Amino acid sequence: MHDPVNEIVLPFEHRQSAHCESGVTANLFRQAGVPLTEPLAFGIGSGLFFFHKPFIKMGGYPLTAFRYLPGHVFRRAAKLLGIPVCAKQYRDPGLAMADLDRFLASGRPVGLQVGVYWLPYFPPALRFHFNAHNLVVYGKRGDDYLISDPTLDVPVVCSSAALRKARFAKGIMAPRGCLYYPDKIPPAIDIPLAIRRGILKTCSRMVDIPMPFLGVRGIRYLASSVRKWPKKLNERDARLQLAQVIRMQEEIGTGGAGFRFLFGAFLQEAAPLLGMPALAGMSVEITAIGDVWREVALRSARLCKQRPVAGDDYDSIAGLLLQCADREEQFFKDLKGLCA
Amino acid sequence: MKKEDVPQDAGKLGGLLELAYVVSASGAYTTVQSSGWVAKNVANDLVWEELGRHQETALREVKEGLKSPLAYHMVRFQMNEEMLADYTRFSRRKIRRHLTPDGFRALEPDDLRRYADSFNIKVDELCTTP
Repeated sequence: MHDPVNEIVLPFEHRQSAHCESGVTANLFRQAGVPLTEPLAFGIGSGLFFFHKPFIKMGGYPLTAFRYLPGHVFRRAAKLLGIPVCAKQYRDPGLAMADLDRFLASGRPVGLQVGVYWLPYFPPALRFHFNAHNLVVYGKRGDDYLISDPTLDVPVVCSSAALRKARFAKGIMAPRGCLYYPDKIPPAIDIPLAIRRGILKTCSRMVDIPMPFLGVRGIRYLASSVRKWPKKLNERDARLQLAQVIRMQEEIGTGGAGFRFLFGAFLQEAAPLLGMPALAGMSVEITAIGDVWREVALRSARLCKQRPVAGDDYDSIAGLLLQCADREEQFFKDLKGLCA
Repeated sequence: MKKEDVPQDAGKLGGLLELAYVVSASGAYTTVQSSGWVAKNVANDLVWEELGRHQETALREVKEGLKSPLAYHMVRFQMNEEMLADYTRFSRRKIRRHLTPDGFRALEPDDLRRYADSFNIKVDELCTTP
């Protein structure tokens, strides 16, 4: 039913992205007049990371992640660009939905953190209790919200009941109705400086944190875990653990090889902006490392499917992971040296 | 990854195209849509197969009278006691009781509705299993 009184459609350019949060960040900022692409948002927001924590379980499996905490890319990018943001969480779902309507009525598209499980427009095969998904709401038509979900190629609609459920998904990293938007755009924004600081933060997180689960140390930790799985677990459980790592690395939202290619695109884009051709060379190296990660996924998949070819075993996967760790350690140290 | 190497292995994503960052022949980064990758499909299939197994086990336990229908629906919606406690605001101790046939039979209509609402289903559906 078409009822113009109940319709709000704000101008919003939907651009598909690989990763939901850097896509939302780039799209929201661009709408506000800051020329950001997804790789720039990802790099400035220091999205790249690695951690492997066997004692934090998600869906019963150890948590392996190739990114930093949810909500971080947006907040960090905004901070480095000097853009004040407004972010709210709610106790009361009714208030959260009313507030959303209020923002739309005042002409402001907003970003939301939601749980994927309750989003009706996602294919059933992707319905997991993953609570750190991000999207932009840019309008409302009757009872349906107009949604720019950056992981999809076109905008979609979602009923208010479903969106409400998704905003108040429960469990680990519960969004609690989280809503955010860039507030006021300052007249001058120093993008090159923000890029440099974003790179330095990413580097120090990857190599400087003296904890066994984080950064390149985390990759080595994962390697040693992988070696133990066939001894510690039964054959099927070991395969399931591998499957879980593949999914975290390649599942929708990483742009391939656990964000390494997205970071490569970022460095390539940053090189001319900073006047540092060396960054383009670094982009080539991280891309090559990403290809090793893809080999990890391919070999793991063959083991998962019980169709190994010669040389495929848990030890060889661990070996590849160590290779990734060593190369990334060197890579991030060099990159830090370049940008310091 | 090179542009020409982008896999197009459609899996269970229902025609969903995702964006991949790849390097073109000139060495410049660009984006390409991909319908999926066999490595990822294998992993996803295995995980779904495992979830299916959990469901079958739960269903059998309900049929054998060891557990209440709630146990089946909890597994069907990929939840555990902790998550269900988050959704329903029942304590885990109470939930464990409701997972037994006797505890479930003693539930008041309001309590049943709390569970049904958490799963986004009707009370009738909550009280039955396929």
